[in-house]
Amino acid sequence: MPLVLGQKPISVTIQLEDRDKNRSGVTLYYPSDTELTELVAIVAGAEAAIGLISNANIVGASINLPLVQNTINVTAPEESDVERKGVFSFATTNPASYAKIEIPSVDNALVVDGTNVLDASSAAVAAVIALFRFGVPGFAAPATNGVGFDITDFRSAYKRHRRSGKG
Amino acid sequence: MIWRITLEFSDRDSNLGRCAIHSAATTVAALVALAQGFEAVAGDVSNAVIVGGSISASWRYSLSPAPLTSDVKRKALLLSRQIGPLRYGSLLVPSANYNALKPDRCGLRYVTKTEAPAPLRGAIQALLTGGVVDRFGVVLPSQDWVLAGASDE
Repeated sequence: MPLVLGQKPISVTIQLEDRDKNRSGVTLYYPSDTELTELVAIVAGAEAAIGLISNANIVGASINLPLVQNTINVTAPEESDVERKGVFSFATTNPASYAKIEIPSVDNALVVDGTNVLDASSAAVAAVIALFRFGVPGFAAPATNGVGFDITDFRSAYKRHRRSGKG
Repeated sequence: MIWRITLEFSDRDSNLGRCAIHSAATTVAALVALAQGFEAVAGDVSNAVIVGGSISASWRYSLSPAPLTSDVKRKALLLSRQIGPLRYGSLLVPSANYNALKPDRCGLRYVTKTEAPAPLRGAIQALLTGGVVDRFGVVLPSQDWVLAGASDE
């Protein structure tokens, strides 16, 4: 650990769709030190330029910054299993919207005996909760849920088995 | 804009599991710090190994159907100047618009920089501006593209 940027270029993909709903994309690569505002401007510029060359519809776009582990991989222990998830649930600034974070291969030692509940008083579980409630020290931006509402209060943490076909 | 930070976990049997969190941070540094902070705490509650991850954002547009003449298998092939021994930078754009690609009344399948009509030259120039690199990080020269054409695949 830790994960770092910089070993692979940033990719910007513009998705196109033709009349028959076939899809294809154009992927452009940029240096890994390109800032977010530049990347967003690049997407707009690329869409305009591709629109001059292609007569398919531009139906989507994405920006991807790859994170690479900067240490040698170690083998996980025998008891690891990514289908055993630690599910953390949080309230957000919108009462109708919540956040759920599922961490693969939660350590069974953190589960309260005889239940599926994660022990919120343990240091490891409390650290996850604190990260989402208070963010990373020194950085103002809090974590949000997928639709952009800031995470506020902790609701629950429990173990659940869930297949990992798509993570 | 909401950014998605994804961590990839691998267990003993090399199964991959993913975990995503989101942030509205506005700088790469803040997103990387959040990813590293999350990696640190997630690593303590998980006994799998964190093997990689990504930071991403995506958009979806809903539009009326594309023109009848559109076909994403018909690509515009844009070749940039040589960027290394025996290697050219290239870009493929789906559903090439032949009317824009070819000079009028010209049967050429490929056009050089001087032959290309102005809209095509402008589009290629715009695409290659902003420090485009290839997948290995080598810069594609924006001024010096050499060929544009059509390629079915």
